Amino acid sequence: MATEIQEKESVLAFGKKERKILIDPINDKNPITVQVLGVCSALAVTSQVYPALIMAIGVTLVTAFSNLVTSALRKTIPNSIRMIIQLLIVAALVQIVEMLLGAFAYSAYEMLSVFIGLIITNCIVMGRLEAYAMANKPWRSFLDGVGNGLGYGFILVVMAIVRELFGKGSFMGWRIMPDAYVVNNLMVLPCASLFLIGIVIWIQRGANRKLIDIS
Amino acid sequence: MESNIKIYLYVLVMTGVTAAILSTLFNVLEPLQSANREGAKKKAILSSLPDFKSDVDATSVFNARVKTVLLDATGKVIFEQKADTKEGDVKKEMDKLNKRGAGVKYAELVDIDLASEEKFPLEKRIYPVYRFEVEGGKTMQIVSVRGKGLWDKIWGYISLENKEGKWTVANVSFEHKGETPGLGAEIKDSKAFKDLFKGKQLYDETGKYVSVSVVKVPRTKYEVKSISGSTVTSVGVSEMMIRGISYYLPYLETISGKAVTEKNK
Repeated sequence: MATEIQEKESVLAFGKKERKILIDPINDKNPITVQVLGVCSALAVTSQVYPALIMAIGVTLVTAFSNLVTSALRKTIPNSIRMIIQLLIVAALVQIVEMLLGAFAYSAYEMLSVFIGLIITNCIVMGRLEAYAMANKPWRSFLDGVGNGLGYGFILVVMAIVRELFGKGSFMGWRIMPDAYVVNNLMVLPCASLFLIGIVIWIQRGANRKLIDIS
Repeated sequence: MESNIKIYLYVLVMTGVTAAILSTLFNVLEPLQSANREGAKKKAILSSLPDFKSDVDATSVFNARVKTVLLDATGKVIFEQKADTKEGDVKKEMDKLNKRGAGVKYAELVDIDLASEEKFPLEKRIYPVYRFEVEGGKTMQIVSVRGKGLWDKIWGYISLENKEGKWTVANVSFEHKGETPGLGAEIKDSKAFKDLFKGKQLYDETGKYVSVSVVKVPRTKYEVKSISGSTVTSVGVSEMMIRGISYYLPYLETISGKAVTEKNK
């Protein structure tokens, strides 16, 4: 009985704990730079800002809602097939995102092509389901999903801004560098994102003392 | 531990529910998706015109000013869309084309593309020509070409105009699936490269078909300079321009012949 009352109270509440769940993944527990999850797509879709932004929104939606659904079902899911069920939920959500993009944001859909489907294999999604949603209540799981999606998206967009600025001389497709600037093709290639991630991690660890002892 | 029956039931119910949600959503969104696909294709075709602006409503321009002509592998016209062509006629033609098999399902004229046609042997393929009405009663023929780049397929649309009896490239647009950004991908991204094709003639002075070749050092006026660092893609573009346009030559010759005789009358 006592637990039930507690659960009712926590529904849609937004206190200190919830705030921490939402904000932590953006800096202290960032999925890309600290947990080192979802790096593959960070390498692949960050050559331009627009697709990176759409990808960030897509992943945020998928992590948030798969966390929500998994958490809501967590007590009914048979333990021996929990991964399969999680995968089913994630796959269905990714398919929904893909269909929505195809209908409402076709140019982004074309640019992202195969990477939308690959959200399924994004380690952040399954990682959060196993580590958080299976053990926590739906609302907090939802916030955890949103937070991790935003943390992932933040790094993606930062990298895409740098890569598009130097690789194409533009921002969101608008040329902003002077005409005399010769674009640096290296920045468009996937290897550029590898060392950019390195630089981002370096800057983040330099600024955030909490991260220094983690690894 | 749960019983096996519970596990089976759980999986069954979950799969059923997910499938129901997905298929409902698909039915709702599919019309929007296919409209988007069609719009993107129409835009790609129109973008090969010399003064195409990317902010125009491609679908309405295409529907108003483009008529599709279908050629068989020998270059003979098998279908010609006219102002009074009814939807039923198009449908009948599409059914005929779909009967060739290979899983090809065309519903509208604009669905026809060389990527699907590649599934057929050469002699069974059909080639679409898009006839664009320029203001002032002139027309431009947009032909579709497809070839190989370094990593994957490349394709494009070439708009051709009849300038004083000579077939001339008005403009080109190229697309690619996986060429290297900054190198091979420049065939699509670099306006300077595409501009090189403008005004090139398909036939030389002696009337021989030469098309436009892409070479390292252009020596004749039928050649353009390749992109440095992407030799294989450039060779692919060259091959695509020569072989790709050659399928349309019988058609181009017929319509230019017609134009000449009409003038002579």
